[in-house]
Amino acid sequence: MLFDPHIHLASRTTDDYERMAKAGIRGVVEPAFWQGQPRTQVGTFIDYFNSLVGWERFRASQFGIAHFCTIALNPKEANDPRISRDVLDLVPRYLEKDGVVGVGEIGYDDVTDAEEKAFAEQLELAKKLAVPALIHTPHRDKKKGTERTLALVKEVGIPEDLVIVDHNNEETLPLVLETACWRGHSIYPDTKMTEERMVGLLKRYGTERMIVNSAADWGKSDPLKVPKTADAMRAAGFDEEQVQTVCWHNPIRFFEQSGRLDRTLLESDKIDQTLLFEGNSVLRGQQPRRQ
Amino acid sequence: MTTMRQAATLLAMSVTERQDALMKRLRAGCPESGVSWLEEVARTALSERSTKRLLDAFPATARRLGTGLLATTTTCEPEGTSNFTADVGGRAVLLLVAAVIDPENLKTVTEAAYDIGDTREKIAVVRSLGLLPDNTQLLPLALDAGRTNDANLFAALATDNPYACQRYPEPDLNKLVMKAAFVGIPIDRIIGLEQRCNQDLARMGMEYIDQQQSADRDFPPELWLAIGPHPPAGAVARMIGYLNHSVEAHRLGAARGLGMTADGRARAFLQERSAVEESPEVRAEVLRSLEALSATG
Repeated sequence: MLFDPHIHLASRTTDDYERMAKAGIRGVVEPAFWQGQPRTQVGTFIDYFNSLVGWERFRASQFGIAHFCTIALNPKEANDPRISRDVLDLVPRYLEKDGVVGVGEIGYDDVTDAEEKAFAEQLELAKKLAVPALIHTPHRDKKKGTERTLALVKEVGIPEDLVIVDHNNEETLPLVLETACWRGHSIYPDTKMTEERMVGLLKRYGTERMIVNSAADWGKSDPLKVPKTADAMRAAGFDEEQVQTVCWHNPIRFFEQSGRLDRTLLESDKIDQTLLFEGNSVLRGQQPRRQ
Repeated sequence: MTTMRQAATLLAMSVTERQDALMKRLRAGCPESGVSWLEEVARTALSERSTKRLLDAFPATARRLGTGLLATTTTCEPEGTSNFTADVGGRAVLLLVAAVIDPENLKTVTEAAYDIGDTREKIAVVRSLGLLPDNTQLLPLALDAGRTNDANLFAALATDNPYACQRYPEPDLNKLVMKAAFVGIPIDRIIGLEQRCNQDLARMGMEYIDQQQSADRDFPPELWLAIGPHPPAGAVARMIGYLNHSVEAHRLGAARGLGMTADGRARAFLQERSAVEESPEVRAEVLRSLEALSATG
């Protein structure tokens, strides 16, 4: 069984869900992030957050995948003064919703003051509520951004056990390894990290607190990167227990700290396509499947 | 009727008394930690005069208090609360606290709880409508819930909830009753319908029955309740016909409908039915209707 702890399914199709389920993915975490173009009003965030705890969770369930999410104002849009304050004010309420397993994605993108303010405020919130925080690290000036991230984690004083630093590479991972933060790796078709490089990191640093995800979104990305990494690990000689540690147990243990990750949802293989969400179905005339 | 007595009690109850009545049931039926959490949220919100505190707590209420049905107490409950689950009760308390903190902005706060709520949260808001002061201003919210495709949300408005019959304008109420019949919600659970029945609703109900019969389909027998008080031409004769239907529910519906007609012609048929009816439930209803008809002369 596999778990993808960072994937933006609102941007993916039902074909993706079918392929993911077939490849063994039984659970996902969908962090709130940006949508590829700037949002200009708080209302679009409300609807987006509602879809993460509502429609998207339902869609996943229709393919036998347990869907959890994290809620936050993402770093990129933290820079927009038209919406940032209002969205930050919404976050505490969404963090109390069922199936919300932490604060995220937060962190630095361009490493601006506005990003830092939103980042610190939301880290404080995670600390206060004792829930996990999922931290995005920047694409540019990544190493410095990661150093500043870890410094801010220390400054805020949130327990490092509650923090995952995501999108690591060969340069940033050693910095995170010096802390008790969890280590996230986004496996991407071209950028970020490949399955082979990931296997190299696992060989070198072991499996403790190591986590992989697809970070698949609306761009060119691959929702099957967790199963593909699991296969690459097996091919490189890792045993099944090690594969399960990285691709199942670690992400679940991390997000389970929220107290909101319901394992019975993960362990159940029930699918009931006769169910509706607010009167709506994912089916288009097909025969509903029940198992 | 108990409904009338309870409604009068609700009018006499202050916001705080309504809150206390719910808290009493929550204390009796919910985990102690959940109840202390709710009390603490209410205390902090009151001392900070912050409705945001209440809204932020709104989603967590089901997790803290559970979702089980709240037992009723021996004292008179506010109308429409007997079927409250723990999460609905807790969320109603949060809205009642908001009414104390900032009565001027209760509409904004209630709408914020509804708009950003998931289905359970929306249901709690809708179920609380009848408890809130100055609730006429919440009509747009209720109308929105009445238009939903979500069967559970719609049922929260249409059944065991006095709000629609208290506040809905007639055309909207008629649509709500017909939608209830259409989606299979028993319209005898629409609180206060008897007082709001009207000729137009009776016409719509009768036409629906005609339409179903032409298509050789069944209709909900309790639809006669919406028709009985203002029966269109031919309706009484149709109900009399259904008094002898092979399906018990149809005999029951027809008997109940006839009792509301104030039409003396029905008496002889009801008497005849009471002599042969084998179902105790239908027979009791037939006798009740006979009594109602003699009361109306």
